[in-house]
Amino acid sequence: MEKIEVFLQMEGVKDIVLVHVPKNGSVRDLIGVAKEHGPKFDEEDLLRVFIEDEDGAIELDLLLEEVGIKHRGHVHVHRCHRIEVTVNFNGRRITESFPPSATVARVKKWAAKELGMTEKDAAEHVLEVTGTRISLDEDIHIGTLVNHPDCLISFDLRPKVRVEG
Amino acid sequence: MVPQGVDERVFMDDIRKGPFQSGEARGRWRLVSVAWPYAVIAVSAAPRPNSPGEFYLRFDLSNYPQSPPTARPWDIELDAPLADGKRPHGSSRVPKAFRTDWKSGIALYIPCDREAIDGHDAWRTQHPSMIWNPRDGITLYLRIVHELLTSSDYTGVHSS
Repeated sequence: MEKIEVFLQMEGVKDIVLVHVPKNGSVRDLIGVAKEHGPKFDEEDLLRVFIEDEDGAIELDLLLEEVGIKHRGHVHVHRCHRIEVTVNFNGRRITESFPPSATVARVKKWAAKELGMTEKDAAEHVLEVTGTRISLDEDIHIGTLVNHPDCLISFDLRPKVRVEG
Repeated sequence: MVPQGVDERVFMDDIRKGPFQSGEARGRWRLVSVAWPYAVIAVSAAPRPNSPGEFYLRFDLSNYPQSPPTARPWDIELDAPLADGKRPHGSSRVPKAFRTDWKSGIALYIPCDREAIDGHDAWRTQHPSMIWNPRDGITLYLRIVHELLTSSDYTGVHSS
């Protein structure tokens, strides 16, 4: 059976996981693989598959190739089907709803546009989870930062700091 | 044939895992060679006039991942340190990271580098996201360098 590699991010798992699934398999196969790599979920029938930076859960019974999941594609598995995102910047607060497969880069791009920042200015800012000083890698899916049923998250947009000393 | 040590085995495992492979699939970086304890990894850079599309870093990975790695820009044609004039340059963050006026430029001046963190304890609170941790491994270092080389701060090679 020919297999393809897929980069999986999911609820309850911080790292990107490289998984192998049958090339002619269905979207539901990704749920099975996610259960092998993730924690034990309550209400696991809520788990859905999302393609990176695309909106909406995918129908589980469709084939991977039908929905465009290819070798080395990036997907997400989560019980939250939308995540309410708040971004704080210079006393302003903006909110929007994203799928759990939205990358930090996508959220930052949206925030920068909403806040009227130039592309150059945006590139010199970084998103941090509110209350932390941990800068987020832009490839991270926001779903990895959230656990059902709390389908919401708040970020601060901060300038990148030069290393001095 | 010399058997692999624990540090080499862990590194070779790490580069087969999702975080490293994902970055490679996105064109962020690629492994060029391993001659333990050294490894050369190419990190892609944003297009700039008269500048390459990627820079090579030669890592010393001794005692990986318990000890942080250290890396310096490398000229793979000469198999030697990259000439100062060919190093990445920029307006603020990039020239600081690739500075040559500190320890003769033997390492990148970033908190996750073994040479650089020595004597800079304040960085642990100032730059917590850039402090080496064995769990994230080599991709932490690569993400920081790739971010610099694709930032608006990066203007191309020093002499361009």
